[in-house]
Amino acid sequence: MQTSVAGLLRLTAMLERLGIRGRLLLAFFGISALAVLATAAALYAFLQVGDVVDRITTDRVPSALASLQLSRQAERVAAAAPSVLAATSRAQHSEVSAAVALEMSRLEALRTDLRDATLGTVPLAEIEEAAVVLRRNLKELDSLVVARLDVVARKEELLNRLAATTTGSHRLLATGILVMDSRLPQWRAVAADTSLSPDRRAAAMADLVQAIAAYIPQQKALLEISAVNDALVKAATAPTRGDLALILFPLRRSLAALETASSEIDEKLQTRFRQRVDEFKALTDGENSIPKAREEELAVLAQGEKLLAENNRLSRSLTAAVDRLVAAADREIAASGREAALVQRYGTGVVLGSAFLSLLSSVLVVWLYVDRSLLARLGAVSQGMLAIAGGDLRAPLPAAGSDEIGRMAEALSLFRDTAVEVEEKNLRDVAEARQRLVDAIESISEGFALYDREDWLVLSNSRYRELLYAGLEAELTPGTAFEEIIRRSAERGYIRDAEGRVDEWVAERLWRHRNPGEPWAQRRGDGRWIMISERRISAGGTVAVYSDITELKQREENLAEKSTALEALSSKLAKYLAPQVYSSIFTGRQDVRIASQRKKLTICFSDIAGFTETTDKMESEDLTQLLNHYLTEMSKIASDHGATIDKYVGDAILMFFGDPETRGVKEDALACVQMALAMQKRISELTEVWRDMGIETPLRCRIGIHTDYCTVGNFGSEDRMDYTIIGGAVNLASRLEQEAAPGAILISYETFAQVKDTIDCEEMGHVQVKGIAYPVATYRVIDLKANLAGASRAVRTELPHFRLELEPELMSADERGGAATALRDALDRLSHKPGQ
Amino acid sequence: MHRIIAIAILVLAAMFSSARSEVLIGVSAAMTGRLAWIGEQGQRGAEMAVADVNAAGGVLGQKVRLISVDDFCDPEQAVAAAQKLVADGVVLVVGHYCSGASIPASKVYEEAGVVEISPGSTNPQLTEQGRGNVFRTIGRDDAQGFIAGNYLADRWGNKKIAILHDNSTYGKGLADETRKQLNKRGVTEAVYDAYTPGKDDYSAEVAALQTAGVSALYVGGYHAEVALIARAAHGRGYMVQLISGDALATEEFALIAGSAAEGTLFTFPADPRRNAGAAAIVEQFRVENFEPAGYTLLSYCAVQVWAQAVAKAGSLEPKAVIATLHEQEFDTVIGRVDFDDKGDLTRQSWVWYVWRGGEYVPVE
Repeated sequence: MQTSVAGLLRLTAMLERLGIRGRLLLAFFGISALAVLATAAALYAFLQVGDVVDRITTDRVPSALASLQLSRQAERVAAAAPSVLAATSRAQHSEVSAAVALEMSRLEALRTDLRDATLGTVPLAEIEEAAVVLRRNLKELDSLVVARLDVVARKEELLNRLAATTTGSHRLLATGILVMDSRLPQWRAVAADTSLSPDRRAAAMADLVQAIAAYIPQQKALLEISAVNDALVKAATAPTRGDLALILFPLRRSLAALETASSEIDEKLQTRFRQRVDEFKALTDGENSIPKAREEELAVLAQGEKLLAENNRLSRSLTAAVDRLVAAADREIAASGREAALVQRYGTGVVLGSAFLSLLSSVLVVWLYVDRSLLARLGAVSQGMLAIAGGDLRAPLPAAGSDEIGRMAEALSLFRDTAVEVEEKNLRDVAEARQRLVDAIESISEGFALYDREDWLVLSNSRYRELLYAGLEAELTPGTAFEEIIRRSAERGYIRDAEGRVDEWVAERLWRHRNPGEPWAQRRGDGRWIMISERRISAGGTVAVYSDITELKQREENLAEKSTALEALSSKLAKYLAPQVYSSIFTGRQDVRIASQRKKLTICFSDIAGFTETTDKMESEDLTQLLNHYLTEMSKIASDHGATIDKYVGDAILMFFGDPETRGVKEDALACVQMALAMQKRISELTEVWRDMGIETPLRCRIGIHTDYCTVGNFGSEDRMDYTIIGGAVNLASRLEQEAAPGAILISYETFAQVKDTIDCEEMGHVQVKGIAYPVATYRVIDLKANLAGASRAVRTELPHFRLELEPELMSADERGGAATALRDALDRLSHKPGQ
Repeated sequence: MHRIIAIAILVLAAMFSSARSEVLIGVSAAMTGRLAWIGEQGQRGAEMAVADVNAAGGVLGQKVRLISVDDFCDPEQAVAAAQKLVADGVVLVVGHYCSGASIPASKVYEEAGVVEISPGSTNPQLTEQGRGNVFRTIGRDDAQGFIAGNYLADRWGNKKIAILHDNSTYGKGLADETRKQLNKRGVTEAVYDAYTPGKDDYSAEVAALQTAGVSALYVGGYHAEVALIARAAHGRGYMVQLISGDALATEEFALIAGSAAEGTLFTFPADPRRNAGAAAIVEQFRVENFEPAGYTLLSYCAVQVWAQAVAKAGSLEPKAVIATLHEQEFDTVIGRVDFDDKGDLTRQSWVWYVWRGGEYVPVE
């Protein structure tokens, strides 16, 4: 017991020394060895089956097949043998005989094969004996057939000779018959001719009798020849010896009769005839006769039949023997088959058993050894690794050991220690970096705050705190929410905007904080201005920088105050300037400097007719009021139409279109004319107002318009400048104004050319202007063509000696009749030339 | 096993070659009927020749076997006989004897590549057909008729001459050749007519000639009918000179005609029995109680010529044998023989014979 325990301990120690690799190898070798064992068992079983099958295929089957072939061959030989006997020619015989010999030699070969293949357990001796006798018989049969063929050939030859002899005999006798035939007509003629003398007829009769007498033996001979021939032909095919004997007797008698007849044949033919008779005799009796040949043939045939019968018997016995052989082989094959099946069953059992054992042992090895002693420890190591990877550096680790897993556990604990160390070092580094950052933030002059993604204060410097929340020290710890901070500062009145609307302001501020944009200024409760610049950072969260801009803001306010004062000043100044001039100077579009340019402008001159006479009696205040009222109204209309008012000279106004802004010469001219019409209309409206004010005589305005090139610009000294126009065109416009009737508008041809499509005008004749070499065509403006559509039109003509003013629409019927009479009278007067 | 089969095949081949060590030749003639005697001449002549050839060792070391067939001197039967011989595998046919049989049969032989040597057919047409396989050991009727015509003109020109024929290829052919020559000589026959062969009595025909006063009668026909005509004339006491052709060269003519045969003239090739070279053979026939008259020796000659040609050609091949027959000369019982391109004898000798005392003798 003690020794076994010691041995077990020793074994365990040895296994420990082997390590994982060794132990795994040992386990695999164990499994493999069991598999090999199973395979070997299977192989052995299959080899056994193969042996048995081999025995069947190499021993039993060939021998059985050979026996079968032998049997068939024997039957074929037996079947072929009779055909040898049936051969009728030498060629046929040799062919058949060769065929039979071939079959026989095959039989011999099969017999030899069988003798080699079989192991003496079957009746081979019997087969051998039968085959030998069969062979001998066939040989005998063959020689017999040769003999028979000889006899048949001889018989054939004899029959040919018989035919030749018969023909020859007939030939000899035929001549006589022919002569007899040829004489018959003569005899008939003699017998019929009664005119012949009795002597001659008697002589003819005698001749006839003699001829017939000579002819009869020939006739008899002919009969006997036929009988002999027939008998001999019959003898050649006589079925038995007895038949032959029967035929010979009448044959000999016929020959004797023939011999007798030959002596009575014509001498010339007698020798030949006797020769034929001798030939017949030789064919009947003697060594080479037909009956003898037939006798020999019959003997040969009988012998042949006997041999054939023997052959058949032998062949049957051969077949029977071979059948027994085949049956024996069959039995052996069956036995071998059973044996093979048995071995196969055992083999299958062994294979299945060893396969099961192999599987079982594999399971045991894997479960008891691999799983328990290796995989469990490996699992512990892997769990330790996962824990470390998950950051849990304090997870329990398996104990170290001497094998691979033990060493792995050792390495793992080492790795964990290193990881712990690294972690601590990292924490230190982070703290240092943070401190540096805090220091850096602290050192900047602006306030700084960092809020995280959830808007909680992460970091802020002291400047921030003193700038925004002086006295709130304790509440600005990291982790305070942004909303809480601002709400608190709003509630404490730190924020000017939030006074009285804390919630509203907090919402606004939060929105701004979450959607930061341009920096903006915040007014604090104590009057300071703080510039807040917020920015989202990439990691989420917001950085806010706060700067004190109070001083900047104060300077700005001062500037704004000055600017407002300047604006007020300039608006006062504007009243002394044309609005266009003012705006173009104040917007900087035009410099205030001495400069001019030449442009095509439309110039308008207006004046109140008889103003001095009207105003002489007025008090100064009333005059000023009237004039200002008039000028204000006109200026308003001028401004509305875009005119540039150059200057007021008493009650006269000089205006022009086309500078500083122009809509085009045509448009400028049109605008000018329209403005003039508007002014006249407005004056007629104002007449009522002024009448109420006590002005009896209505103010009537004259307007002159001309379009031409002028020089426009700033004229004057460096100290004072005037924006005005200079040129002949101004003079012409002034001249037109003076020419115009009160309340009328007079325009030059140049202007008319620009407006004639829109404005209805009336030609007024020419005026001479100082400084202009040619007379200027003038036109009175009536109204806009649009206003006149469908309205009455006056007919007006004014010549040096003729003046017509006709307004038919305003006239009554009587007036029209009177006017027509006056016009006809005038027409009559004009039609008559002076002096006629 | 294979060795055994090989041996068996060798044995088989040897047996076949032994079976073939026999050369078949045929003789085809009228063996029965009215021309049986001529047939017998042919057969006996050929048999003797074959026996002599075999005695001398055969042809190319092979024995020759003769088979004979009966053509009845009939054109249709001749074709049947020829086909039987061809089927039996003969390489030579001696025959036929009647021209009317020879001519149709020659076509069968040509197609089968069999050599035909006729000892009796005299009609020129036989060799004029251009069949390469046909030969003859007798002259042609144009030559025979020429002699006969000349004779008739010379001897009977101033008398009435009658020419009869039996309408057979041979008979009419010979009669026409004779007539042609006669007419050429400026003599016109008094009667030219045909008779029906195979009848027993020709008295009516003879009576007509007698009435017409015919002095010389030339008959183109076979011996039996000529003999019966002679008998009929004799019976009537009508002394007409009977003249005919080669068919009369058989003793049966005298046996049928009896005393009427006396003085009948006919033409036949120069009698080979008188040849010195033929003496031993003639003697052999006579020992066997057979007179080798007429076509006997011509038939013997046919076999002889063939056997020599085979020997010279060294082959049994028909083409070689035929070529040799055309090219070479042969020493035979009828003298030296050679054939022209048509297969005719280059030398023909027609001789006049007359029947005297039961046998025919050359006219002195």
